[in-house]
Amino acid sequence: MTEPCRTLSLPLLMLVPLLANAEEPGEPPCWPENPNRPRVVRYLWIDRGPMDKVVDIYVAGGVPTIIGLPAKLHSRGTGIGGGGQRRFDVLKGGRQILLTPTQDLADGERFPMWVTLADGMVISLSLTRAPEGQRTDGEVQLQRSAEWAEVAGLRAQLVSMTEKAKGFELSLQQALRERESQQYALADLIVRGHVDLTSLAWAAGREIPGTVDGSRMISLRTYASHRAKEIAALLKVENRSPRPLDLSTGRVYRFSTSAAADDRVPVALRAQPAIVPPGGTGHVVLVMDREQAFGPDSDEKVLLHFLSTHQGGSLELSAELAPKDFAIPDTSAGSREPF
Amino acid sequence: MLRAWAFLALCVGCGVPLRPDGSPVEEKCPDRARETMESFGLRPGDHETIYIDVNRQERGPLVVYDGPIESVTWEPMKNLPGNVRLYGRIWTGGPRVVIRYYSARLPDGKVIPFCAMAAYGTGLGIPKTPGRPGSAAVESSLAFVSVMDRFRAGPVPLWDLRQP
Repeated sequence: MTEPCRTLSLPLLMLVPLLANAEEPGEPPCWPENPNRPRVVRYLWIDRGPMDKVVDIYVAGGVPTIIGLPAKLHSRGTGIGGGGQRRFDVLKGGRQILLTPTQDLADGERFPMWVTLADGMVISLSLTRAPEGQRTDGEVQLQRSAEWAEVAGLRAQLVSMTEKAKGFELSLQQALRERESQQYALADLIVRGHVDLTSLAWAAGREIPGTVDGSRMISLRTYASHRAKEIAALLKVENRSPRPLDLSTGRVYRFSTSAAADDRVPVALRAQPAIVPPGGTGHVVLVMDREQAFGPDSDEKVLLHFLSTHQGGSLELSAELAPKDFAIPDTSAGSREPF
Repeated sequence: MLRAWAFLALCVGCGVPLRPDGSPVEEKCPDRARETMESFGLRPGDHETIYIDVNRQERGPLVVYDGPIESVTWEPMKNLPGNVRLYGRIWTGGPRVVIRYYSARLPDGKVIPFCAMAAYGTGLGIPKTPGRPGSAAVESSLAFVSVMDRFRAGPVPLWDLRQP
């Protein structure tokens, strides 16, 4: 062997025992046990759903541990408790958390950790030192089991059914209230053109400005009575705009000319049809209590608002109603002058 | 028949005497008007929205003149269908513009006697801004028609048109 060749082969021969002793993934055959030496990947299955089981994560000082998550992380709902914030360097992002304890944990020392996923699932972890016979986690992959998916699906179904049931209950309560309400009974009759069957009489009629561009023609008719405390406003709307108009969004607000405080007035509303298509005509009746609308001295005004349901709740129509719109002539005083 | 009623609509009201304030005096309804309107379920006090001038249906103020007028209803009124032409006469000389309707033409072309008045605000008649003699401006092209049992004169609140 020539001199240069001998020089090169010597370091190679020295490397052979080292390569023979190199670690095989998962099972180091001949190195001494070192609990701080991380394993490659540990898979943990979340079986029972959120908060049902605390998963141990084995950590060691200065050794980074990656926690892989089954979904995106919700950063604000994730953290370490028990004063562990100062004992760990934590990096969070996407579907991973990187934990590095700043120092070794003592035997039996534990730090609770909560991981909240973007879908609302909360996973409870316990950060602790690897027990005897176990290794520090280099990477832990948390995965949902089929059972969890089933439980989560059932839970979502239950939530959806509960919401529906609540909605039905509210609708039923509203329907019962409306069935027993005299104001809704009046509104029903007026919107069907049977005001002559009620105790109310025609008090006034005028056009009200609907929209600046004149795309809505609105005629207002009001009804009142000596005998009843209720008053009614009937609006007939011709929708000449290219947008539909939802009459069921009608709201009445009381405002005092002397105070700035707005106040919503309870009204019984009936619309026919509820949504007026472009080019169509609709009627809406609002029956309310005169005193609730205009105050005990009948010296206030109310604002009538209709909001759009298809353009983010913008104001579609607005009208001002005053006590004079519902005036009842004082026949006892002998005055006949309506103008 | 149609021509006859149209002629009547133009002529009826021509000779109605005026009150001192310039508005027309009380007047009877045309013959058979009440019975005809009752056949459509209409009773005194029933009311509906109209365009005052069939040729001016845009929103906004309107100038009206003494003389015949053709209005149009907006929608059905009891059993009377919508889009009925109303023929009558305008008086602008009084404190309010008075419009009396003597006949109506149904969408199928049939002409019937009619007895109704225009209303706006809180009373019969329409508030006006005085103009040249024989004309007046009203604030809206919309008004209301109210079925009458007779053509009434002077200030009449809508309240008084209520059903018995």
